[in-house]
Formats: sequence, structure tokens, C-alpha cells
Amino acid sequence: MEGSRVVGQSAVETDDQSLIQVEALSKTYGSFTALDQCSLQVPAGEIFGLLGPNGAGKTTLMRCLLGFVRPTSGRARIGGFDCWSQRTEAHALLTYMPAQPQLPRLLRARDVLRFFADVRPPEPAASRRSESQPQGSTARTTSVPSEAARRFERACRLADRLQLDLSRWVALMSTGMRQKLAIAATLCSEAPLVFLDEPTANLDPDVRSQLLQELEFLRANGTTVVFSSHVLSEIEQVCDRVAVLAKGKLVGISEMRQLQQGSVITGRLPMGTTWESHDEKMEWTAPDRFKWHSYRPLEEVLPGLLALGVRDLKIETLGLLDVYHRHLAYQVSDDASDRPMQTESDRT
Amino acid sequence: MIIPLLRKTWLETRWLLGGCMVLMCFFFWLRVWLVSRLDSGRFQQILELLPNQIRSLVRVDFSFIVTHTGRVSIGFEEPMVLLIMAIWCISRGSDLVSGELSRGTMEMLLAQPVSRRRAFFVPLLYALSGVALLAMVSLLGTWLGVATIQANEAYYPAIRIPFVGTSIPIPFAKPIEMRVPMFELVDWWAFWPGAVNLFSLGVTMLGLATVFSAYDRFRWRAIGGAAITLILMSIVKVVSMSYGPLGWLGWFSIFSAFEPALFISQTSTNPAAMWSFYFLGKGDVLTFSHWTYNLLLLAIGAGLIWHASRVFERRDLPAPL
Repeated sequence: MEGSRVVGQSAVETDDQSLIQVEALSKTYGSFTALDQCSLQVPAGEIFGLLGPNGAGKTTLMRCLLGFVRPTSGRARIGGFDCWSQRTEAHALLTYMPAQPQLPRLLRARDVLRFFADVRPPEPAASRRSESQPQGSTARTTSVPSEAARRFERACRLADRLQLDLSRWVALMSTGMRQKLAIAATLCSEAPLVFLDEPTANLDPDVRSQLLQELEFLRANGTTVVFSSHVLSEIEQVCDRVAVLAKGKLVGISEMRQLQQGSVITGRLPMGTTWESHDEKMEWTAPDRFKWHSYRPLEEVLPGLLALGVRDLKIETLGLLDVYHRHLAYQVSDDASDRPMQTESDRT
Repeated sequence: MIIPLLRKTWLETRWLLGGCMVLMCFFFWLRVWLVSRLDSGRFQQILELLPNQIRSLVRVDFSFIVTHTGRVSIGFEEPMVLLIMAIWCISRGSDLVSGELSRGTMEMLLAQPVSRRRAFFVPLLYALSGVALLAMVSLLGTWLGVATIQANEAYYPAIRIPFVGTSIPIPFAKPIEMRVPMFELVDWWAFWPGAVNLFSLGVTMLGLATVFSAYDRFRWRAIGGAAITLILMSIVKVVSMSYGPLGWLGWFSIFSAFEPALFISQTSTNPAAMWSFYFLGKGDVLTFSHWTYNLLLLAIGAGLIWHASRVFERRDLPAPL
């Protein structure tokens, strides 16, 4: 994964060996812009989080990627396949669980799992895949029944772990139970890419942590996961990177690893002091008082500050909430030229 | 990939299909039973009492209607038969797109490597099979009735004239009530043009419902649109038949091509109408046979289905509410 940079109002990354490639994607409904010039790339094997307030465009982005809606402009590709014109080929590489999964109500849970296990073809369009096929989407050569049976068995095991009664009719299940069933149906495939739209919304804490464990398991297997949630702690726990959307725009992408070593440093410096040694900018809340969101290890930062004569030093761990609020705050200010947003190139 | 989709559709709709089939079969058996209760002479008396306005709505010769075959064939035009077919066609047609969208089940289905075309045409194939089954069941019910029911027939005593070989009924004598098996009076296979016409109408109704479904995200709206259209078309047909100057309105109703009793009478009385698209009818007038009307209905149905599939393939799928 190489760096990204801010161009105008969208973050553009430069890497064409990614499982997901989104280039200047926009979607408008009449005069309403649901997604505005969004560009990003997700490499194989990454758990990628999508954050943003309600109506920020997370679901629209996912629906564009899933080929449910036709982009107004721009393009999105999964595994080299265009998400709209080659959506069936792209779907062979992915599986998806919507925010409020609805399953056929007149079926028993076991029949639902059997359907989702059987409906996938044995070979996910590998022979038709383009030259730029990324890693993580391997061809399968096993026969239909054996692979379908294996998927069904996996789904049953997962359902068992989630304490799901497979003999029940879906219509008689609670919302949480249906969510569990949808998780089992979604994760039973070995698709290299998994889209999860607020997967823990209706789950009890035990099942929630089980699901997060499953995500860790997927990561270990090299599966790419695009994960949308409003629960920041979950994003922090499982995601490798997180993108923040607001008003249809991608306002920033943060890498969790760097976030974890970052900190919010506040203090006072003698009047007239300038901080030039790093690209990261300080916010001056008063002539001598600063606030600095640093993504560098403290051992790199503190000697310089101490040398400048810093006083009243206060250091807090940088959390996702800080980053989220910062991105949103800059978006709300709606002034892209002044935006001191931390991007990956800045940080590296 | 097709079999799981078919299996899912079957599991979701087996009770509806079973119920419609049982109801259709029972109705046609009942129709044969009702016909067996009333002898031909009494039925003719009833027909003669009908006002001319009502008679103009019947395109079949009264001489055919008074026969047992004619009376059973009218069963194909009964509102109950149309209602059962409409229930199946509208419920399945409306479910294809707007049903799955309004329930929210479309998303997880289409997130699988299932093309929209396949997600549309596999359940549609199942729905068409259901239409064919319902049409066949109409024949089955008729066959069951014909095979199991005996008719009450009144025979007047007759004087046999020696050497001439004929009999003259005695009109003032008390008629003799006899039980005659229906299979001696009716050939159940004579009704196949009615079943084919019912199938063709079903295909068109299904096509109509799929078009409403393909455009909409709410199933109730698709059902309402299809149902109102069918009701309007049936009114249009009645108006076009009962008021001569408005006969041209008949071109705007699919029910104008639904005349199973007429087609049964044509094929029963004129073998030329059996396998050709037109024949010389009464007064040597060139008349279109049931195949022409059926092809017209099937073409309309296929066109509507094709249009619906194009709409579905190109449209955005809205997020479930």
C-alpha cells in the first residue's frame, strides 16, 4: 500500500494492485449528491472501515461497489471487474451482509443456509479474470456439490457457534436471530471480499465479540473486509484502515496502526516559537498554547518539544473519535484549502 | 445456480401454488357436477329467457351452449377461474422485483454471483410453470368430473315406428329420469383449446404484473396497478361487446382474445379450426382460430416480460426502507 494525497476534496491513492479501486465515483439522485468524487483503493487482505454520520454516503458507496446502483460518474472496480457492467463477475469475488438483513421468511433457517451455500458457482469467474487480477481471489476447481456441501457445513458450524436453531422458520425469528443467520449465510462462502454494513447493530455483546473474532479469522485467511459501523471501538479493534465520509465526500483515510501510536499533545511554548521540524501542523489555541495531533511515536516527538521549552505538557492517546471529529470538523468548515487534514503521505 | 433459485422459489410459494391448483381442480369438478344436475332441455328454457343485451355478450352459438360440452366449456370463462389465475399471476409477477425489494431480500440475493437476468428469469420460469400447471389442472378437474359424475337426463317415451326405423317422442307423456355417466355425454379432451387459451391469458397477466413490479419498489403498488389494469380491461371488453359503436375498444383489452368457450365450440364443430390459424366459419367467412388469439396473447405477454427484464437490469436498486 502506497501513500495517498489530498486532491481537491477527495483523497486519491495511487496503487493499481488493489482488490477495490474507486476512481472519482459520484452518485446523484436528482439534485441531491449522495456520493461526490470519491476515490480510494483497498488492497487484498485488509479490513477497511467506513465511518461517517448518517447520510454521509457509506451505504451509497457500498451499493455502488455492489452494483446495486449505477454511478453517475467515475468508476468502481472489484478485482478488475467494473462494479456496474461486470457486476456478476465481481460478485463471484464477494459476499455481502446489509445493515438490516432480510431473508426469505417462508423458509427454515437450514433452507436459507443451504440456498446461500448452493447458489455460488464453484469457480468465481477465474478464467475470465483480467490480467490485473489481485491476490486474494484464487481460482477454485472443485466440483459443485462438494464445494457447496463444504460451504453448507461451514455455515452450520458457524450457526452452531452463534447458538442458532436451524429448524426454525425465518418468519418466527427475532431480529437478532435473523442477523445471526445472515452472518452465517454471508460468511459461509470463501469469497475473498466481504462487505459488512453495520453487522453488529442488533447483536448481543457475546455474539458481537464472536463476530469480531470471525473477522480476525478472516483477516488471518487473507480475506478483505469492508466494514461499516457507527461503533468506533469495533472499527478500532478490527480495522487496518478507516475512511471517513461526510456529506458524500471522502474526507480522510487513517491507518489504525499509525493512529494507535499517535497522541494529542497540548502545552505552552514561548511566544514566537515555530515548529518546523515536521510536516504535521500545530493548532494554536492561544498565542502561546498549542494543540497537536501527532501520529509519531512520543520518543521522536518529545525531545524536540522539550528542547523548545515546552510547559504544561499534557499527552493523551489519540483515539479514532478524535480523528473522526477532526475530519468531520474540517468538512463542516467546508474550506478545503485551509484543511490541515492528516493524510498518509503527510504522516509518512 | 438455477436449481437453488428454483428450490427457494418453490419453498416460498408451494402453498400458494398448491392452493390454487386444488381450488382450480375442485372448481372444474364442481362445474361438471352442476352441469350434470340440470338437463339440457331445462337449460335451453333458461337461455331463452335471457334478454338480448345479455345474449350479445355471448359469442358462442346457443345451440352449442345447451349441450353438455357447451355448458362445461363456459366454466373456463367463470370469474372464479380468472380470479385463481389472476391471484397466481399477480402474486408471482409482483414478487419478482418489487416483492423482493420491499421485503429487502433482493440485496442478499443479488450480492451473490447471480446475474439480474437469472434472478429475474428463474422465478419467472417457475411462475410460468405454475400458469401451465393451473391450465392443465383445469383439464384435470374436468376429466375428474367427467369420469366420476353421472348426469340426470330426462327422456320422453317414444313410439317406435316399425319398418321406418325412427322413434317419435310422446310430448304429453311423463319424462323418464335416467342417470347417464358424463363421459358418455362429454369428451373431456374437447376442452384443451380452453386450457390453452387460459394458459395464454395467464402468460399475459403475468407479463403485466412483472412490468409493474420491475418499475416499482413497493409490492402493494405493483399488485394494485396490475389488478386495476385487469379490472379496467375486463370492463372495456364488456363495453366493447355490449355497445356496437364502441367495438373498437376491444383492441385495448387482453380479455378480447380470451374466448375459451368459443374456441372449444369451434374446434368441436369444425375440425379445420383445430390446427390452423384461420378457417372458413359460418357463412364461409374467414375466421381466426384459437391459435391466432393464443399467439397474440403469448406475444403480448412475452413483450411485457422482455420489457420488464430490461427495466430490471438497468434500474438502480433502492435500499430497503
